[in-house]
Amino acid sequence: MANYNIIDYVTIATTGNATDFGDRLNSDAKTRLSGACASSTRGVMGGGIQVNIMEYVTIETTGNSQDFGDLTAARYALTAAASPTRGVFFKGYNIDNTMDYITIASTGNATDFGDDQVGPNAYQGACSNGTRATMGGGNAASNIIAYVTIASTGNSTDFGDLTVGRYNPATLSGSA
Amino acid sequence: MGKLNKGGLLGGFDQLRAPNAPTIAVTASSEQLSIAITAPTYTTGTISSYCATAIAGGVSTGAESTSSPVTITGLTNGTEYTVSGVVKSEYGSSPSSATTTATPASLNYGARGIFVGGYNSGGVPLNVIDYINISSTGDAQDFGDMNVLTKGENGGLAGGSRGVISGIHGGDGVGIINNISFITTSSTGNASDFGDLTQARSQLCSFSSGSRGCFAGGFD
Repeated sequence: MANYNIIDYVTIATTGNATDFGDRLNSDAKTRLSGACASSTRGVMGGGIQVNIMEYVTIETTGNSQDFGDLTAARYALTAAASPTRGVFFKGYNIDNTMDYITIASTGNATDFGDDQVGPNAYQGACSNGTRATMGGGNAASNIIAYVTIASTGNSTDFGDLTVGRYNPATLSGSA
Repeated sequence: MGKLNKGGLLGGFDQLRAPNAPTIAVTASSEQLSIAITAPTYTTGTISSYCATAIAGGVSTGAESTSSPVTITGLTNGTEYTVSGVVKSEYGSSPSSATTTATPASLNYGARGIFVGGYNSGGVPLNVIDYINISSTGDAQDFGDMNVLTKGENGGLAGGSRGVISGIHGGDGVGIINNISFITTSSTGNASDFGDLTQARSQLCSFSSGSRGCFAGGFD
């Protein structure tokens, strides 16, 4: 078993194999179980096994990731979602209900967002419609979905339930 | 008396004149432009129609509506369009607004949220795909199934109406695979094969610009 600092990319509108993009700034277990969010130009990866680091890349280029700043606390198995300007990192192992936010166009440290006391603390999936982020699933195969308003810094609210409880789903949002 | 008559005549002509040029503000999204058209503050007649035109490579695409904004659809992502607007009243069409440029682009988010696979409470891989309408609240609905079992620890990303999933652990006896799958988010249905990662791995993270998606880090 090995850890990989590989970054691959695909052109979404096509199909085909992935191509090498570059390497993550950090390696080893720091590149496992991170969360990531993006604007239309910049992708930001945060957390990993026992780290609070964040890195970013300019998505339409190729190259290695660069240092971004730090999350408010080390965590892993976290998830993230974004508006066009703000990214939110949700909980994760070794913290309780903490959510952080960043300004994606900056390279500054994260700031406390609010608390999520609705869902479990790790292995969730998150997605957004640009203004609202939803977090679903998580530890012990939770079926809970919660949401926050990204432009606020408020606590989460109950949304509804997944059809089947699960942990560590992949999540995304797209056109309806 | 003459001045009064002259003023009255001029006033009358003013009332019969087509509107002055409007101003526009353009918002780009995937394959379309939304053009907010604002008529002049002082205009004659009643504005009955808002028209917008987008031109690229000598090809003109237009749309008309009884209200603003006007949406022009069917445009090409990544192409820069020169945009203008016109308003119409019962006295005719205004001159064109000043032009501006805008480029439609695929968004990396959308109205529909998708949850793919994961582990159930017994650690069994799930191939279930659920969806929600993010702007509402309520329980998720069945979307379809993954084309491979997904034990979780995977990543998803999207551009426009396509969602892409990778970083898949296929469960006991299968292990971590380099499969990439995709779905059409605007429909429901099962996932299809997209291609392969350069290296099989799970526990990765993922993000996209809307046109390009990245899968980063991971473990096998």
